[in-house]
Amino acid sequence: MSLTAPRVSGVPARSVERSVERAFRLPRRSLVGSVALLAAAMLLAVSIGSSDIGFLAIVRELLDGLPGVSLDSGLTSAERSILWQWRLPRAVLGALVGSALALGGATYQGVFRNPLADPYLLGVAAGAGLGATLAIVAGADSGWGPLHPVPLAAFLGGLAAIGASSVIGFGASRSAASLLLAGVAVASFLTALQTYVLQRNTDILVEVYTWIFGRLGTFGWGEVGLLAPYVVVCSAVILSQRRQLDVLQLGDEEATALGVPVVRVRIILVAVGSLLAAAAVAVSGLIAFVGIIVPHFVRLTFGSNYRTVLPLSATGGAIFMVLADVGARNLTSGAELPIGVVTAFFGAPFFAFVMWTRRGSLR
Amino acid sequence: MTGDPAALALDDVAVGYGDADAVLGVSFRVAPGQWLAVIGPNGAGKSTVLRAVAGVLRFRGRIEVGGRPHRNRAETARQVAYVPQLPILPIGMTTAEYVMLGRTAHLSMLRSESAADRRRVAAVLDHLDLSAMAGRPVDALSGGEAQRATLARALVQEASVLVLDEPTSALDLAHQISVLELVDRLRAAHRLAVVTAMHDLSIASRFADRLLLMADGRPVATGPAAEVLTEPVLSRYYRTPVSVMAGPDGGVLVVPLRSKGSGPAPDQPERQAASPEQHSTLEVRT
Repeated sequence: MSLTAPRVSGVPARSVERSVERAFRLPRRSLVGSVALLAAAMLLAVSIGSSDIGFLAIVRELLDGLPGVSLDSGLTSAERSILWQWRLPRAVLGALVGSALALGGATYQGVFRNPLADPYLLGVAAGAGLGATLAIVAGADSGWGPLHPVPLAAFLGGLAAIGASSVIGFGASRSAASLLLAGVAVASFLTALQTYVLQRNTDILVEVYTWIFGRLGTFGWGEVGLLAPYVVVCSAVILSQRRQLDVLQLGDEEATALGVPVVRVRIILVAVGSLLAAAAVAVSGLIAFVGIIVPHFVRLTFGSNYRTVLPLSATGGAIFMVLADVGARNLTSGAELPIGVVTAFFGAPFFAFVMWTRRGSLR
Repeated sequence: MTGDPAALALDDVAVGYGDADAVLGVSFRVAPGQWLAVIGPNGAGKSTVLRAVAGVLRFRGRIEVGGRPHRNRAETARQVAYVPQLPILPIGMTTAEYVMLGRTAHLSMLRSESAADRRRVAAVLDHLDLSAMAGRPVDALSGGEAQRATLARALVQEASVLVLDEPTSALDLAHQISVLELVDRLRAAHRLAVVTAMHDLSIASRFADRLLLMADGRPVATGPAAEVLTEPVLSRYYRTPVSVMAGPDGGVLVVPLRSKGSGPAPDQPERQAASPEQHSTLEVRT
């Protein structure tokens, strides 16, 4: 005798179906809107700078760059160089870094069911900080773009920290709490090492802190080329796991009972989220906060389903970072502000405002 | 195991936490459409057995669903729907989204839920009178609605075995009966094999076809309520005197008796009258 699965035979009213359909509709309008906002933010970023280049000429020059379009922008070759080798790569890099940090944060918060989780919690920041500090102490300050030893050391330091946290955490237990505790221990240890190295080499304090506060200083497309493959591949993997992230919100036991291989999914998502963050940190320094506030802003505004949270965090993080960089470059005359200062200075009050206006959604 | 496959069959199942066995020697069969209530004092191993059946815990021995052993998580999830004692209701997730999670084992990793999946969720929401709640946050539902939402999530799994751990522990009397009657109707309509862990023995006797009494991780008695729920058996394994009498709907009423010397002292009234200060506070408030 074979058992047949019971099927629910009730035919629901069309209105019920419609309300369920509504609940599962992709937030297309919000997605298209956020992509349009990102385009506007990037246009703003390439239009503002110390060199006075006309806005319409920039638009014509950018359109001229599209395949099949031929327009005369009237820009001089120096202006073209500023646009194509300086402002545009920097805007694209900002978008990629913001996207990577926000997506990494959203992923970690889902995996650990912890609103304060982001890859920095497992030691990415501490490892990258120590790596960069050691590279600067060793005097390895020559090189170009992605081949520069400082970002390379930061990337390797971030990955090593995550590796250590994972080995210790998963070695002790398969639980999320164990991994987080291991991350806290590893991060504390590496921060102590970094502080010791800095104390012994006070002459590099300014250089190290400049890196720690974050910057998007770039010339040409080298860093974009380094980061883009990580963002594309890791984002694709994370988006493919959006349903698993939703199921993980039920806790390990219920997720397992619903057929999800919890430990395997957690390892994949932690690895991919960490890789994203380590790659972003390597090119931008330690820009905290983006991975926390952008996903929470999306949750508070558009709902907590990962079908919505992931893509809108990616576009939201990109918009936030591009605008923050515009601020970092233009808010003060003379030296740029560190971008981490701008993200926190403007992001924190804005997020507090959103929390306040949406307080009914917080429990 | 021979003969027609039971919907669910356990053969000498043991579950260990670390080196110690929390549960040992559990064997039972549940036919399609039958309801088994696992009872026993706290720490008897009821939830552990249920979690092993749901594929959440590793076990020794044999667990078969529809005549086949557990093979992988997804297949187990298509055959066994499990609702823990205190299900987590994620903050901000709508009821429809929450119920859809029950379809996880039917969907491949990369595929989104289809129109057919959405229709199934709509049908179950309608069936459990939750249609109006489809777009509301599941964490904002009342206790009774939340219990129905977890049942809805279990139902869209389209499993042949429904495993509920203390399904009414957080509900008042009226909601307890309404949820159990709903489970009973679903059991009859879909020939579901139902396994529940239950603390209320009187209610268990009214709904379950058979009871399995566990104590200290071992099964100690099994059979219809009239055979298992006897004063000597319950007094022995619950370690407290009880009185058992005939109850409504063919069930029995189990009433724990007060142990000698546990009552209030003669000079202490059981319930003190409200003090004059309390009365005046009430008056001020009104």
